[in-house]
Amino acid sequence: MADEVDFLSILPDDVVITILSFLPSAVAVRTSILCRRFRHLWEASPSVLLTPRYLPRPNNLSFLRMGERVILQRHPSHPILSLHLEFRRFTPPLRDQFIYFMLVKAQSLGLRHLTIHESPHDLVYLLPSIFSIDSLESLDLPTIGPFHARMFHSGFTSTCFRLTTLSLRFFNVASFNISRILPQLPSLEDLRLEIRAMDCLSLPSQTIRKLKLIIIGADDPKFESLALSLPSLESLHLETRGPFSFSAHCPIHGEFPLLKKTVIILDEVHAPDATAVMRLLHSISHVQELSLHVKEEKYPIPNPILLEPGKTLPDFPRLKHLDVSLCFHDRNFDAIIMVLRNCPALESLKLVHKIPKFTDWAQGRKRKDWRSELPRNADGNRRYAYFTNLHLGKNKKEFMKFLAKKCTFWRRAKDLDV
Amino acid sequence: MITLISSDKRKFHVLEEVANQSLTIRDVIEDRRGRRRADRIILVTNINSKIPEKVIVYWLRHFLMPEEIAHASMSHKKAEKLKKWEAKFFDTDIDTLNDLILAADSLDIPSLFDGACEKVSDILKNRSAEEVGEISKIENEFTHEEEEEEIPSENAWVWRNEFA
Repeated sequence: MADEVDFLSILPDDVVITILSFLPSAVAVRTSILCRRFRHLWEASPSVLLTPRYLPRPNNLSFLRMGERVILQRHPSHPILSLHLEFRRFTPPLRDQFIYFMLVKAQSLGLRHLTIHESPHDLVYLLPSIFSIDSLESLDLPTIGPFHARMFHSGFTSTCFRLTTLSLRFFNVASFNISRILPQLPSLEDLRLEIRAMDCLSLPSQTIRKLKLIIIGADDPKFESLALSLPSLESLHLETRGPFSFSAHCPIHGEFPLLKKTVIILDEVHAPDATAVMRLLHSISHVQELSLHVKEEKYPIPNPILLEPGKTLPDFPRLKHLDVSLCFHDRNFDAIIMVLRNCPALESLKLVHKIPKFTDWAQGRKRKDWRSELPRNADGNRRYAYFTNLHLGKNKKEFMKFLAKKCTFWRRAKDLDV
Repeated sequence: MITLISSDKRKFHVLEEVANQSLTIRDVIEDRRGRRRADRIILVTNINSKIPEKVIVYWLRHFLMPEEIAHASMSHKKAEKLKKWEAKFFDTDIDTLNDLILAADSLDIPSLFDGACEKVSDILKNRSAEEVGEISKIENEFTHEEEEEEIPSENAWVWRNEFA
């Protein structure tokens, strides 16, 4: 029986507590029946995940009992570092008071990370108490609608002085309400924001280093201006879902002297948006790493979505790594070659050909128009092209050869102009 | 190159850069820097030979593919791949996981420790207390009264379908 080791029981207490901290609280509590040592061990787990999913009867009463036992009756010597709340089908009057009490107790136990899944109905009454938990370091909230957002009207104050990571989703909330939040959070570094397209938005913050902005587009309204006054920004992720929602003359206002890395993902871009895309690229032109993913949708004829004839090209003096995925039909391919000629510091390049869908949306598309113009790669197809160590001798030569390739479309257009 | 010796006297030769992922080993190497070659042998007690093999496989994988790869979209795909690989790696019997946790704890490899703990908690997640007791071979030393009355009534919401 020597090799019949008791699993779990030979592990030291702190290791078992780590294992328990990965479990939803309802499951962790069940381990109390295993043996004497385990009876109260679960109480020390610093992370609490309250979800009705693992309850034998997921109803209001058992959820209440769970919250009461796990949080309200918790011994003050066991801190709660992370709290994850998930509600499903609970009647509102029972909930908000109770959640409020749980939050107050969690605050007294030094709560640092709070995640709330699925909007409780009366989030509006909870928001002030959430934003007054001064020990909070990260916060992830469910969607805030126009009804909830009224608490961000004038007079909103927050005491989350340590909050560094914030994730917010807004649905039809006026932009001035959103801009009001940021000045109240003096140490915010990482912001994830999901919003619907709106007329204008300004995000002022001295401390944000990482911004992930997800814009859920609509045909109307479109962004007329986007002001990001974020002097410490290092990493920017800009993503649009649905119709492209920047109007043609919408620039991004703001300087990002420290910006290193940018990811831009654009959905449903067509020819009239080319100017807006260009402006976007102009405003981040001193970035070191750029990843650009563009999808062309709904139009039967390929359009140049990167460049417009006659406009100035963006200069990328510091760009080292470029990663582009879009449909490299002849116009886009020519455009990318023109852009690459403006990137003197480039070290690695990755081009991936994205084949657009040939569905009902774009009837009349001909495959031959959307054919990839990339050079044939080592695998014998034209779906991607990788270049690494471009600053070194032999690779550089090869790359220059690549750049010298014909730019037929633009030359033809020029000829026509002349 | 450094040599690790397991408790059953098997030797494992590992590149220093690879073994550096263990914070304990890194400290030992730092301490002994500049000494003779014989000192580059590190005795890893309380770990049998099956585990170092796994740990070294894990190291190699993570060494070849560091988690924080600079490239934005590339890292996403690679991270996905790594995730799949880790799921396969941790898909072993519970005794091995147990030894892995102990090894990761004593060698101080945070990512391995967290990964193994998470896998164990996944195993426990969807099982009843009796099943957990069976898997973990924990001897239940509660008295009959305690098991039948006291503990279930303490947290009734976990155990019973109905409240009295």
